[in-house]
Amino acid sequence: MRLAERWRDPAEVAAAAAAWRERRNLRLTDVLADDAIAGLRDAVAALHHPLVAATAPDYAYQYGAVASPPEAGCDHAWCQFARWWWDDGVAFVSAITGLRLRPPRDRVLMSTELRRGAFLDPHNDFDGARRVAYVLGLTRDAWDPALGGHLEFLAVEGGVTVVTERRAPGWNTLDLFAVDRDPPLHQVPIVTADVERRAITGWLY
Amino acid sequence: MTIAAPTDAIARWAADGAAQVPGLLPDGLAAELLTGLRRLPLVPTETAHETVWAYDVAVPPVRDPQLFEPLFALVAILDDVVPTLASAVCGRRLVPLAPSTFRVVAYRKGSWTDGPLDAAAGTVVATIALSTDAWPAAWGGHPADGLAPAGTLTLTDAARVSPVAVLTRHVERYELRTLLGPAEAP
Repeated sequence: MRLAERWRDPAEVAAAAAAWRERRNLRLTDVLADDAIAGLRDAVAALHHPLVAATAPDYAYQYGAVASPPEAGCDHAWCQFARWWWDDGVAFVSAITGLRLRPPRDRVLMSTELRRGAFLDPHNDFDGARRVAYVLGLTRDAWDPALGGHLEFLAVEGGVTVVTERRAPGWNTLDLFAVDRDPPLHQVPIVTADVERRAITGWLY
Repeated sequence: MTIAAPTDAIARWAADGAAQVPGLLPDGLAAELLTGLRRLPLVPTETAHETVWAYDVAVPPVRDPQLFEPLFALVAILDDVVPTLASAVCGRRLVPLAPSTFRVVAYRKGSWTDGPLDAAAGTVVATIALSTDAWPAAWGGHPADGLAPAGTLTLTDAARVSPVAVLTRHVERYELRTLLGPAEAP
């Protein structure tokens, strides 16, 4: 597992860090080496993603998910990536954000699969411990946002919730946004077609 | 309790492989059932053909007075009235595939179905509407024939795609589902 060649250039990292300082919310592209992202995607897609869901009046969501920590010595792409992500990946995000980040204590990595009917209602990820949310895009296909499944950042203006930014499901993208202070309200609107949004998602602490 | 098979239901079944019979449940039973069954811990349930919230109920053969009493009225209808009615509508003898059992199905935000297409050939899906809430069809969650009044029986050939579009809002409706199959030859 390794980053794409571009990230060996300090100027690239510096430019991303400058963008982070401006908004504490950005999307990086071409994150992993081509063979690394393709291998990871194929390995993740082969895993069963059981449905998880919660309904109103609680925070409501519905999607497929698989989550587990890496096993020592395991050479499955999942474990290889998880070991790399919790070490080199966290160091990479720390370099961009200027924060001394660490993995979750349980080192659990989560892959999500949003298919027909999947959604995440508006939420802000804040729990007092999380510092940066990440979404590593593993979706090759593109579709009209009207079909749902895009990441939307929201604001409340005049009592009305409006979309301030919409990001399509990405391939080899890394969305990073701060959730420790002023965490942004965001959602993934309900998927109404037979499309498939894959990502590895979670938080750094 | 007997209900004659409406002629329009017989004609509709012959034409489309689907039919509705309103007024299957006695007055008030749908409301009683809904009050009790909506408190069950339904779980999100996914197959290749649908995603719904569901809970499978098996009513014991011995009448336990501690159980929710309307269940016993329901089971008598599911095990006797529904097969008789369905046989008349579908033109062949049908029996419950799993007597005294049924599935509580709730459509909530994110739920959809193309129908229980993995059922065996010749299976008839019997669905009883419980909810009375209504919402715009554009929100999804409506059956092909629209929202049926509580207590309505809908019969569908399991091989027939009977889509319910993704429910996109926080509303919900409940129905009961049981499967009928061909009676074995005597």
